Amino acid sequence: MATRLKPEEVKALYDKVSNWGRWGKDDQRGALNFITPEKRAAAARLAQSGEIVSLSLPLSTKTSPENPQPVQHMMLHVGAPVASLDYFAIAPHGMAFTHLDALCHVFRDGKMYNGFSHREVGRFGARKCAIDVTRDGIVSRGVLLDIPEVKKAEWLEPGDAIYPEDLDAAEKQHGVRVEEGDILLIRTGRHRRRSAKGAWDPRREGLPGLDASCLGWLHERRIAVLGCDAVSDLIPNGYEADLAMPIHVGTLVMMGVHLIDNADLEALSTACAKHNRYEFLFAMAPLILEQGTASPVNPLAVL
Amino acid sequence: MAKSMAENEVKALFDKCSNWERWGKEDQCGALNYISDKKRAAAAKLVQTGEAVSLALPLATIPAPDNPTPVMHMMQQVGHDAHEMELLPYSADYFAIAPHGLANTHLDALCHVFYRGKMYNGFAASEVGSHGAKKCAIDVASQGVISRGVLLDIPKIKKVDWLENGTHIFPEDLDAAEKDHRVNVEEGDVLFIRTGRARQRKEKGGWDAFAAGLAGLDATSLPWLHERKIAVLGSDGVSDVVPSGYKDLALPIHVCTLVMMGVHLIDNADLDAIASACARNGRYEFQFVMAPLILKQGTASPVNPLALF
Repeated sequence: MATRLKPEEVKALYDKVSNWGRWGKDDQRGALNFITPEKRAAAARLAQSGEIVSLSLPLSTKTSPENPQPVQHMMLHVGAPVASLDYFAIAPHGMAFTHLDALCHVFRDGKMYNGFSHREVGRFGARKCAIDVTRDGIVSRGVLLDIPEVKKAEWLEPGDAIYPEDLDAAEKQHGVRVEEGDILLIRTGRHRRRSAKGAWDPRREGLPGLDASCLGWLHERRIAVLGCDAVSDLIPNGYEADLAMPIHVGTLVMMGVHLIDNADLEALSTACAKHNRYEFLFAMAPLILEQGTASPVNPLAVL
Repeated sequence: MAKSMAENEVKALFDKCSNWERWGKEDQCGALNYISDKKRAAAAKLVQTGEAVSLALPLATIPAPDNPTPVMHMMQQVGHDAHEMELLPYSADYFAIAPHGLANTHLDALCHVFYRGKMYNGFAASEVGSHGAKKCAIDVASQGVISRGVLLDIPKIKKVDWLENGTHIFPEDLDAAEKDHRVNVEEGDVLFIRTGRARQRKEKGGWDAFAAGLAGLDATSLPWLHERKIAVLGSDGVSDVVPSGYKDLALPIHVCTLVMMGVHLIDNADLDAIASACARNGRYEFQFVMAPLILKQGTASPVNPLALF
């Protein structure tokens, strides 16, 4: 049975999984450097049937327990005679929208990835590690680890922890191994639960996610990006507030791994089971929001 | 020498190029229907070196003659404040985007423009109201657009840095570009027409294109586009030549592609990097990937289209 790490062990793990300096002291791209042109070309060969699946939730314009800041949609001009025009306002972080976190989104001891100061993010936006480091898109091999499928459950309950042993078991069952430069997607079944039972407030009622002990596993596999249908982190995780989001801190700050939060992995789960294949071409094109800390995204899988 | 048509001839072309009911009378996807799974799988086989190129301009937050409604970027939380106030310090922001116009790279939904009170497939313009669009909204493309991309680089074949504002591109120019680039535009392709606008802007600054003009396709190109069965049309301008020279048809390419043919449009792409990449690789076809945001009832989405070689 997997056991939880002590707080001081989590903090020691942060230092152990650090990629600071790995790609030079000025690097702002972090683990995206694991994706080579050869890796992209090999990933394209995984698009065999041409079937395409979106991994994004709709950008919701309605408030709900998980969506206190819905997207604003205003019509600037409506219908006839000539044209219709609109306007969208989006606060991409939080628990409701599928978005990519930039490496400047969270800090540890006043630092972001590669040791840049938290002062590099000011009222002007982010001067280091902003989301536009991904302007040429993220195309690589995607791998889904479908944890409810392995546990023969419809979904994981809020607060259920995923341990490295679960990741190993999923790899074995799916016949896939996570490798350097992969986009790793972890399914918890959150949105199936939401479809069945309605939305809940994840901050108060919790979310399933990765236990902090998974950080060593993620680091060894040299993943480029981590994504989840929840927020990767387990909520609540049993630690004090200074370790509220150890996966966010360990990946974004220490490893330089960008995070996709709130993906919709239901259709992908069905497609992978149908094709009996848990690897695919993954493509994502964040908006070029210079000095931004995140972008809403619509990641695609092609099987 | 190629010549523009009279206005009534262009209107006759609109009917000739119609795809209404081609995919059934309830269809809202239009020419995206030309992209089959087979077409997507074949497009993936075009990836050889793995080089990736963005076709988007940065979303501009600074007003300019071609950008009266810049993107708003507000910080909800910043590193410095957060570090002093929060146990888990973080930064977060908020963006407001009006995607249409001449400044941002965006995909027009088929409900964006109308002709005689109708949008694509004959749906009434009144399907777009204060609530947004009930038909042909941008979320018909929620599963992304992946296909073969083809670039026709018109300044290259005319041996100029860019086309001057108001320059018309005729079907003969498209034929000449295909011949020069040794590529044929085919069913389901995403076709990009480069005018060199982004290059001109980098050298001379932005200009108000509705007042000073833009290079773009002459209306006589419409049957060419229709016959080739393209899925999507994109340009570094807005596809249409501005001014069009017609009294009642300011943007005939917009009207005919979006309304009659059901062809989604990518406006204001940045095609300079892709032009260099095509020239360097000696090929003008590539895998094209675009994932519009899932904005239900929206008339457009900002996009960052990608090309893979």
